[in-house]
Amino acid sequence: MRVLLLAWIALPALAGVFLLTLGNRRSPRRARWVGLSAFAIASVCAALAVGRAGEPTGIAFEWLPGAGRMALEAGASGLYAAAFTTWAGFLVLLGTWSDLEGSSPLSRSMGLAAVALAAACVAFLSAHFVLRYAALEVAALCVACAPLAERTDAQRATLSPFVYLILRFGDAWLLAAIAILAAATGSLAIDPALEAGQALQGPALGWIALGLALAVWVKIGGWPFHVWVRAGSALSLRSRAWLYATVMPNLGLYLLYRTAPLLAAAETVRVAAAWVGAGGAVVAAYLAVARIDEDQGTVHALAAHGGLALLLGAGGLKGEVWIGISALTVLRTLLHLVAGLPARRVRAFLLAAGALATAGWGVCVAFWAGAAGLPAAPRALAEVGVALLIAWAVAVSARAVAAVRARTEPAPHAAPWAQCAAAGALGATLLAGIAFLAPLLERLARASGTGLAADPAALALLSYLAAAPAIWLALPLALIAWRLGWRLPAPPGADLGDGQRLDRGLARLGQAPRAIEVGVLERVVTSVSQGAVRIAEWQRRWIEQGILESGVAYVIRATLGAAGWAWHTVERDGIERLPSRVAQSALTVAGWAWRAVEREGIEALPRRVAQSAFAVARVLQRRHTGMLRRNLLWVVGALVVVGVVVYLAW
Amino acid sequence: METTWLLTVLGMPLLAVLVLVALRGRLASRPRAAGWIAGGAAALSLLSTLTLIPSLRAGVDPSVHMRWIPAAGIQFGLHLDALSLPFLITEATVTLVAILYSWGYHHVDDRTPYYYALLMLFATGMAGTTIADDMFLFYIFWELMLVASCVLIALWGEGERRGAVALKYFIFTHLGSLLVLVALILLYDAAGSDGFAALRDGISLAPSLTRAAIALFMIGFCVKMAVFPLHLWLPDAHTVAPMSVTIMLAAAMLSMGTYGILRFPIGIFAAADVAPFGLPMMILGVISEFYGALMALAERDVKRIIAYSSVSQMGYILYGLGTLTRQGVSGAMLHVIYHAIVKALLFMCTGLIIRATGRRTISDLRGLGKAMPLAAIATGVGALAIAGTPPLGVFDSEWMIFAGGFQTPYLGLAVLSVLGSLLTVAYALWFWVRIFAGQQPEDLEVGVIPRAMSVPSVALAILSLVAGVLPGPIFGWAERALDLVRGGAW
Repeated sequence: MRVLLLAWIALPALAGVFLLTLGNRRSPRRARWVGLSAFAIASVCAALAVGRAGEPTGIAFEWLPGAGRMALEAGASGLYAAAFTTWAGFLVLLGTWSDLEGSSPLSRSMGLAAVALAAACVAFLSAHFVLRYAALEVAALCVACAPLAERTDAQRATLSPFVYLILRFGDAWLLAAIAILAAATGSLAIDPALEAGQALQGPALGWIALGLALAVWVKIGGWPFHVWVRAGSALSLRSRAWLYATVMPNLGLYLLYRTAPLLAAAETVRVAAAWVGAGGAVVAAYLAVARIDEDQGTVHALAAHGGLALLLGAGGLKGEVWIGISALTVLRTLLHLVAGLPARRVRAFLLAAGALATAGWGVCVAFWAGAAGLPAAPRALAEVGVALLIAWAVAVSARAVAAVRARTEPAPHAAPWAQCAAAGALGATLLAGIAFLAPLLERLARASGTGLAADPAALALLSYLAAAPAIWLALPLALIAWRLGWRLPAPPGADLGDGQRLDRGLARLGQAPRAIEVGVLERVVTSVSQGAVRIAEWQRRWIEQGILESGVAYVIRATLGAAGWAWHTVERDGIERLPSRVAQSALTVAGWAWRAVEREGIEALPRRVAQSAFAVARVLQRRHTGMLRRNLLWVVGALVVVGVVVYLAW
Repeated sequence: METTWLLTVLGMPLLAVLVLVALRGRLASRPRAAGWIAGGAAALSLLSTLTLIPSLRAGVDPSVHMRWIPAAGIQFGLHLDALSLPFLITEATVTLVAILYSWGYHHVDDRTPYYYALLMLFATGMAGTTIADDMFLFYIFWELMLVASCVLIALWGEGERRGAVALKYFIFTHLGSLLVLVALILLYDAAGSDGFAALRDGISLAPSLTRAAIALFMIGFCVKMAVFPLHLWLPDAHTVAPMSVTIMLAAAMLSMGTYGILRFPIGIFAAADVAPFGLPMMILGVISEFYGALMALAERDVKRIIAYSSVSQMGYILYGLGTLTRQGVSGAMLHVIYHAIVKALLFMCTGLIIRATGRRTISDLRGLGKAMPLAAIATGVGALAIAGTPPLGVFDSEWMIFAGGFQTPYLGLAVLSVLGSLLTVAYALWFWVRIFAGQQPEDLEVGVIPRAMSVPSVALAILSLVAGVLPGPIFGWAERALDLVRGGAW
């Protein structure tokens, strides 16, 4: 079993790497052979492995230390999902055998498909959340790179980032959900973590459910996230039918299958997911009816199924989601492969069968939603979506028949035999599935270990249809539209059959939501992205270069100003001038001191003494000169002084 | 023997500086020899680092301690432990790659020996910062990084504004360094010694001083990390600096801030003291993550786009550190390493584009995928890696950071940090698609790229894939490092 699993994954991976790196040096025929051989071997491995599904073997290894041991397990549900995807890929590659559009695009496109197959198988078989996330990312990268690999015009530069960004949006939510779940349960192993997660309560459970729902919604391409699937319309049939319509939606559905119980456990998210799924299904089905071309109509019809699948997930209908993987794999691949065939009876038959089966699957979903006890309002909304899907299926069938009738001369080129064979095989599978529905459902349910909410026997379905008011309300509206279309004047020179009239009427009816999608939704997306860039530019201009730079410049200027002022005040006026001022003050003080002490004091003292002496002398002279009495008094006075001095000295 | 290898780690670049300066006259006639000398020294430094890994695994931490300024109790101490090792290897590898790249990128002239000598001095500063075992030495090496890189920008920068840019870079980062210095002085006062051993033994600071020291460290190191709003020096410095210097600045020097935060505030102080800083760090990290990515989307200069990407990526790291959980901090450490590889790769690829076309405005570049297939693949790997696409390396570290974030009570903030990665995807894809997809304009001529520039770019592209697929050894280093911080009690 291990060898089988290894071969199943490693061979496509090696072939993919070879084709991507060296493929453009080889001839396109050789690249085609390499790619197809890898898918063929993988398909054989898948067939052998499915026979031994559920065996307790696998491949275990260590990747991120601390994240626990990672393993690829041969559990039945993952094995079946991987096998369906592999077989679909083989049939698509076989169907596009004659599609040789130059060596480089073919080898790259084949290489991306092969790597995507390996990544998808790892994601399906992984028992570890981080490994599954990594594999999902690689698959998303392959899907996003397809426009880069296949297209040579200017659009390749916008389509790839656009697709990758949308897919990453879903993956970012998935990563958040995984991280919260791991933090809350302490495990990154999928089964134990999911089991423990169901016991969680409060905001953690809400965040987990929200993250998972958004991740699923993006991956299955439910409206309005179908825009990334629509981007595949510009690619080769190979990429359109498999990479865009099968691999990623299947990965999304499988994720939903695994996490449906958790989604259903968070009440708010459950109700929101039911509404969003049903509402999205209605809008997408309406847009499918108002198809722009066949391929776009198919994209929208399948987007409607994305919404219905979300509704199933909200109801916790694990088994039904699981069966949806196989049913929708066949239907998607068939519708894409048949659409490109020349107008012949077989094509009309297969296209009608595929479209009607797609609508029939919608009826089953609505039937199960009713049995699961989902709230009546979103269920009724989903029924409207189913009615519109029926209308779409009728329109597609009518168009196909009309195209055969309108053909007057043989097809300009021979029908590609490989595409016919692949489409025939898928058609046969579909018819066999319908013919042996009961045992098939039983087998699938057993493989997944789940049961169905109700057995979709023909009688039960018919009685459900008879009692589904929303369907009976919506279908007449479609009929009225058809009548309106029939009464409308035909364009000059146009010879319209009944089917085309129905188509025109429905198309007119669908112009409104189409206008909403093109006029409003796309503009909103464009405006939001332009707005983000403008905000960023504004931020750069005003904040980074404006406010912040100005702010910084202002701060620097202010700092410099303050520094200048401080320099003037402190350095030049303060510190620098301080010595001079001190000196000046000192000089002033010195001058004053000089004047006061030196000149007026010390210097003046002798002078004053002298002057005083002179004055005294003059007084004395006046006194001791002249009259004798005054002279005697001078002598007596002089003697007293001398006597005092002598006395003091002695 | 370990001591010799440890001294070689630091000694080889220093020796190269001395040789280059001493022989500048003789090297003038053989200018390419300067590159060989620098390359040889860088290679030996890296080799010495790798040689020390077995000792560390065996539980022996190589160290050297010598008396230096006994009066102040300052010693010359070098010590390599599990925390230093990842940063040292990153720094040594980036230096070697940058030197090899500059063989092709740098225009040889008679000043070339000085150029390589300054590069080696810059490398010495980074290596010394990482293995310094005392605060005084740490700060000297910390400033040596700044001085060497500043001179390189001022003398060999591109454009006439290089002087102004060098000054701005110096003022900004030096202010941050001063805050770190004040915090170091506080620790020195409290510990009574400048050795890290004293800090590891535990210090007692008053609560207000503890908070002040942590805040000073955080702000100072955030300046070096260039986290919003302290990032304003980075876009200019990265844009103007010569490419080899830009590679070393972006891939190695920014990580020194992370090392500082792990070594000092988270490594020294008690968990309860650091805890109040966790939420502000997380918020600032998320703001930086968004802001840098938005700026990268708005920029037109290819070099500035990658420069702003660093602001965003540092936001992831700060957010991881702010979670203060083992997983978050471990993720931040790993992100430093992976970011270094990827950022060096992206700058190298940008250098290839600028060199081949002579243009650096993104609107002038288109459709180069056919003319430069190797550069397209290498840049594609770098863009996907920085966008966190598995199995490339950055995914591993981002996963750890996000997982750490979800272990905190702030679920909304954690979801925001995950959603912020979408902006990273947007600018990374936009960058690649605008340059390599579409039709090449007729007037856009593509020149020949020297092998010395393309070989390191391809090698790093391969390394980023290998490091993502086989993350075991790098994770092992991070785990051992975290066992050292907080005594392994997270």
